[in-house]
Amino acid sequence: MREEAKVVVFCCNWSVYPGLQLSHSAAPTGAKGLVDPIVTMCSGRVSPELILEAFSQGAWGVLVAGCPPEECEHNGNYKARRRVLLLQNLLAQMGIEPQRVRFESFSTGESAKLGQTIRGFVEEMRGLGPIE
Amino acid sequence: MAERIGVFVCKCGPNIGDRIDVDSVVAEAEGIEDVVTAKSHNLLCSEDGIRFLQEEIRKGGLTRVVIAACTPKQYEQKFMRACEGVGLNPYLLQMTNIREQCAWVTPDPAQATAKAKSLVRAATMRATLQEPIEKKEIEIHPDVLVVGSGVAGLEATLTLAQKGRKVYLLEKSPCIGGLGARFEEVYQTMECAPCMLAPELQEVLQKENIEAITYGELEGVVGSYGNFTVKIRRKARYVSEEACIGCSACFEPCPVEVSNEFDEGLSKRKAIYIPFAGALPNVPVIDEANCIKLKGGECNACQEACPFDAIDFDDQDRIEEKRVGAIILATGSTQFNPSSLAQYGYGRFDNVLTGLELERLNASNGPTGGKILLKDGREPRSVAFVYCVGRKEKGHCSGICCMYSVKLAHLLKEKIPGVEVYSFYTDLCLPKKEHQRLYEEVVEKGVEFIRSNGSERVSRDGKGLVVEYKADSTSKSLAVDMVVLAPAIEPNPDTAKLAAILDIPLDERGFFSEEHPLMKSFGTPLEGVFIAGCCQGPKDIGDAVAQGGAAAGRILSRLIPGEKLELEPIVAVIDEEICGGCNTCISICPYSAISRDEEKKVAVVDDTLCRGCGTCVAACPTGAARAKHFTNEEIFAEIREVVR
Repeated sequence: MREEAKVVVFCCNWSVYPGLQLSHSAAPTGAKGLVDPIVTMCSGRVSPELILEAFSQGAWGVLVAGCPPEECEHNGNYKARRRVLLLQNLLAQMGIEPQRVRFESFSTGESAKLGQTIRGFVEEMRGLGPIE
Repeated sequence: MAERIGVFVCKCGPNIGDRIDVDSVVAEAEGIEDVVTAKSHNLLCSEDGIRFLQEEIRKGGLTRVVIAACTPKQYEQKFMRACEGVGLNPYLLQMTNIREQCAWVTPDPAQATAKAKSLVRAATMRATLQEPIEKKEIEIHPDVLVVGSGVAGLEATLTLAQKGRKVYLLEKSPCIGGLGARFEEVYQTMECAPCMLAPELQEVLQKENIEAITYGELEGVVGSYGNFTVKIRRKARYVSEEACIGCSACFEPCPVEVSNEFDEGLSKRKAIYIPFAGALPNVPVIDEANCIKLKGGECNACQEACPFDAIDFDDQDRIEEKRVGAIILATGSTQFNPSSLAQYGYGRFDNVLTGLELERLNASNGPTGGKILLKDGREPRSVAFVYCVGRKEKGHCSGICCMYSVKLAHLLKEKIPGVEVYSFYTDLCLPKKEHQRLYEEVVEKGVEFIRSNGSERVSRDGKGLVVEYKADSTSKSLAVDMVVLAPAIEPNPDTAKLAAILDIPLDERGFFSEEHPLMKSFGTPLEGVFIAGCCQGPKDIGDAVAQGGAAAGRILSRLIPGEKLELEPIVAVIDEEICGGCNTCISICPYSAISRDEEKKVAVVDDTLCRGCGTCVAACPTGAARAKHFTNEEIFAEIREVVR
């Protein structure tokens, strides 16, 4: 088992991923741990099984990053948000801290917020440690 | 058969090379199953780099390519073309970003290198599972339907027609030109709007490849981008467009008088009428709701008066079908009716008008021939404008009311020497480069601006009106002859009907929802259906024209006669063997791209409409829906490697 926190970030291809690309100045730098982005065409594509797979493979936390309300071309962000909320309930029932999965929204230009959120999330996961 | 995978790690000069141990990443790649070549290059996107890549693909007989370099947003297309150039399907390439995602954000070189390795492993495992995707192309129909003939629709129509496209311009009212044709002068140039529009309107009516269908409605649409069939209702006009020369001999004898909606009800018209002097096409229409003969009574007055035998009481609505490749909706907006807000007295007190009513009073082809008069025929000596009427109720700034109110204040000052003009406002919204100037001019001319923050109440005092308001925390009142309200702009009542016909969404205010508020304000989520002008949201003439042009340009660049339309290759597919026919995907698809095959009782994706967002894939309870290039297996492989 790794020492560092392992965090998977699902990035939407249109707003979040380009934002992440711009973010090297304000970046997830300094996040103590490994943060890996996985790109999907829309946050609406992120099904619970993708998130659960990440956990079963050893991720400490999963951040689903989509467009802000009103800005998703596919309205997939609303669906992703609802799915994450449901999944949080399910995780709690399974004895896993629900805060290990989180939905956040970002505009392309919000790379500073993106960096900050990822850093904060990694810190939180460090506090929780790996899933028992 | 095992894949032959090539992994190429770009140093990006010092950008990656100095911060990541590229050699050890290459060594890591060499150890992955099925990798037959792993190499680094100093600058893979350079001409030399592309040659190197192509040579390696050829030489190694590679069946999969992984490139670890910069962001795919920058050069993925270039690398995909390079693969295609040597016969490798471009979707068998996988890029992973070790510059923005590693080198630039991870200061510790050891950590950055470890991360680059894990990303390369993930991309390689993913690449193994990737499948070739063929580009799909469909035959298209290059003609275009434009709905609405205001400034946005006109610009779209003419832009398309100038390139030789056949355009059907469908207009609900009997004449073309929209709201703009009813203004006398426009902000901020104070140009005469009918004169500004006249050449465009003439061109629309005369150009051979434009078919202007006035007094018509869109009844139905089937098909998709490139191949729509639209059903148009041509309402019975009862006057032959061919025979009529527009002499207007028929108006006088008509015994019916009703209020004229084109003058905001401020004038009367006959049952056979043209909306206003100068309206085009210059052919009257008989209003069947009010015509004595059409209601079953005895009257032939217009028919007897017509010297050209153009009146045809047997005329009937006709339904026509047209085939078009794209549709532009430019159906405009309407004005919020302020009579629901009792504090303004609109509809109860004489001489409380809306801005549009004052526009018509000011228009030389309007009810008073351009004289601004009170109900009793006197000239007003004092006028109060009230801004932002209904802004709070509607929840949006309409963005044009300040402009036209300033304009009308200016016109009042010009037309009626010595008139006192007051403007009660909350916020002034005059954002464009020339917009402040006219405001400064009217302030100089003595128009008084009072910041009353929506506290205005209008009451009657004898023959006059009183505006009570609060300013600087003090209650005050002002007696005036006329009050002009600036009501919010709201969607046209037809907007919801059209949205239902086309199956496109409305926003929470009831305007058409745009594909993207900034980047594609003229697009809708439905491919091939565009929006322009105030039907997308309140805007001024300049912005409406720009959107009309943008929508037309988008069509001209993608829907080209003789060329096939290339479809988005990354789409969803539904496996009919697995599909249980639950319809979940149909209900959540944002593009209405999924329909039900009633015979097989399964869901089917229409490639021409799908944009590959994958929402259906995530929702499908049986796993029948698959997103090409983003399958569960591909994403699982990626997750496994990055989390390992």
